[in-house]
Amino acid sequence: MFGPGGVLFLLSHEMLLTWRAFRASGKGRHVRRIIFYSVMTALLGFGGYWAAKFLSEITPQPDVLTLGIVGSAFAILFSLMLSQALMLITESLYQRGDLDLLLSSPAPLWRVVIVRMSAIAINVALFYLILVAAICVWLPFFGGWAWLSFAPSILLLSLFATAVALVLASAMFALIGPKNTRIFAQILGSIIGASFFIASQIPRFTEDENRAQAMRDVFNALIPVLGDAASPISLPARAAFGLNADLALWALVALASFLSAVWWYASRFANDAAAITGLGARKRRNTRAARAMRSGSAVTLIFKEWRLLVRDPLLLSQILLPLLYFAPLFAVFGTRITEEGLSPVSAAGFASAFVLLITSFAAGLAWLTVSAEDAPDLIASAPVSRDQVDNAKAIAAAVPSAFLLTPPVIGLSIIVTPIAGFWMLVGGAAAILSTCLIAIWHQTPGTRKEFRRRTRGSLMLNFGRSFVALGWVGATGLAVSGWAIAAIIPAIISLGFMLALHESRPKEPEPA
Amino acid sequence: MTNALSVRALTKKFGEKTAVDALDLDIRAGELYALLGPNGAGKTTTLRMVTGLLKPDSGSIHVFGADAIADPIAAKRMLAWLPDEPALYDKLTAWEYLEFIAGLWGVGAKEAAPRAEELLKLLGLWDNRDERTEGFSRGMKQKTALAGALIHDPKLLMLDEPLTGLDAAVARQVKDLLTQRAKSGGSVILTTHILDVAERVADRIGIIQGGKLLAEGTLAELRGRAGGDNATLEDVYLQLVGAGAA
Repeated sequence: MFGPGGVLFLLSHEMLLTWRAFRASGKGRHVRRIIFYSVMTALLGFGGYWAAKFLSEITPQPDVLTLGIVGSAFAILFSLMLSQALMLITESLYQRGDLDLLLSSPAPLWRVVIVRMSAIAINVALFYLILVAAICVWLPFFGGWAWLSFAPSILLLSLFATAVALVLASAMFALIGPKNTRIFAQILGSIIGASFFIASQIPRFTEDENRAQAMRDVFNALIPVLGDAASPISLPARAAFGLNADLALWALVALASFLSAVWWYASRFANDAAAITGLGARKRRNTRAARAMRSGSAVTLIFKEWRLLVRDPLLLSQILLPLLYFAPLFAVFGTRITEEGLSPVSAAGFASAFVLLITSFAAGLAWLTVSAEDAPDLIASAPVSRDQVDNAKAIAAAVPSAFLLTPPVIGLSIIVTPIAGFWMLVGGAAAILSTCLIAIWHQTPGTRKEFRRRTRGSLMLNFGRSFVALGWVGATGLAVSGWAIAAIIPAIISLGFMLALHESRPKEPEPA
Repeated sequence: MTNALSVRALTKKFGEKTAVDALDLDIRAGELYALLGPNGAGKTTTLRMVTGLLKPDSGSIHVFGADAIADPIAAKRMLAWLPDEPALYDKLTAWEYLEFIAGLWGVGAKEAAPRAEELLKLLGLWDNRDERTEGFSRGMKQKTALAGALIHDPKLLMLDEPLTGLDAAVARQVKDLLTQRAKSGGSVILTTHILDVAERVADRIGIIQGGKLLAEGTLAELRGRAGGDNATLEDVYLQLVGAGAA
């Protein structure tokens, strides 16, 4: 177990790689990082101190209500962990890294799989464990021993979530094949992640008189189930209250589920991994009726970016899924407009929300077209200036964003007033233009596969980006609601931040 | 006659390490020049500076008389660069890739389409023209990249280890194409570790180490330096760079 090739040997290798990847993801200097983590630790410690003090004054009583509330929190945690584990498990198969090396080694397959899945479980639990640890370190000082069992319960919950995710991933592989599993897992993971946010907004969609009743109904239906001390569903919550037998039983259930899932998955792992390897070699033919070609550097650059986007469903889903989080927002405005009629406030809210949405969409696209380049040397060796390349790539991001903006602008012009539609168009266009310009000024080069790491960059840059976007959101809202003069203030704030971002842009980097 | 490439006192440092050290190099128009050297000798760095992918610390680069540092766009129009790892877009087909390169180099559509067809047929990729390159083998990718490098009919073709990882048949195809290109008046410069390739196809050979050109000339001239007509290029190479570098 401890020797070369043993479980702990492999686990330490896995954790070392995770740590190195984490360190590589930051761009700041060593000193800045130390300051950042020290501040974060201090904040967590401060928050944890007061939380621990508050909790220590309460003696946990595992009655129906308390168990039900804790059980609900655990259910939310479980769903978040499940979505994260599902994405990590599928990624572990697709982003092969050292997988081929491990699979070709004499180490037994179950050992490779158990280590990889344990690393995923730890990864999934880490964020929550850090939060809980910030409280747990203070609990003994205030005599809050009874709350200490939350930490192991959460770790066990992550093992259980990883086990369920393993079964789910395998089932998807068998049902929809390796090609679609990755996309589906991502969509499913995002929907699970977003579902609680969306669910939390549901009361806002309902009418006032029904809202309270609906909440009471949900509460009355869930609490007796999640808080039933005799039910297996409440086991994690009971374990969290330090009831020794329950904690031991929960540990047994979580570990057994995890090991069984790993054992079952190990038998399929090599086949699934091989099926994914085969995907790369699959021939995909694009039919072309004519052998005509386009000419002109800008046109070919734009079409190249669009082709690459359209042909990558995984990337497309990554760009489009964040839009899901805006759904409740639009439902709120839709309800308001239905209830209150076309008041300027409702129209302004709708327009602002859409400008925020379009900014998020354009930012994702602009990173892909401007920064993510799979053949940077090829572009750099072409007889085209950097400005021409950047401009063409920014246009490739701006045009689809403008298309997305057009229907609501037309809608607002018809339903509210043409002036309202005009101001929404101006606000949306300014937001798109700003987003594309920032993408050009502050490029974070990478490959398209690194889409999730696109927001890496300095804190100040992300801060600036956010304020530019919020400025345009505010200006649009004010202008659409009839306060066009007042809209100048947030617009000036946006332009000020744009100027700052322009001035702080890196010097012309050395090619490649 | 203007040289295809003229490099004077070219220097590039990475921190304390001097990768290219006051290098002088001339490639004549219509010749196939092989640049040999051990790992880290400065071959790729030199070519990357010529292509505009790296800024030199000092020195000058002229491509057919055009100053590649002062006017990189003019130089790039005459150049094609083929790195050792083919830079393709896996979601584009071979045909679309050539369309993209032709567009970047400003080749008109009417001119580019028949040229693409000719190149794809020549390299045996015509039947695969509408397949995405993600499904291509290493050899097919290399040939697609080579077709991309030739689509705009560059006056100077620069290739970094073009035969690495290719099977014998594909390597032969590439060698034939390069020889043919030099015979028809095009200039080619390639870096390689495979001495046999340089021996067979190059008009002149340069041997570089520590960023400095140790020797250059035809095979016969280099043999003469090594002290005999029976000496192979390997003998010459090892004598110059030392057995440890082999």
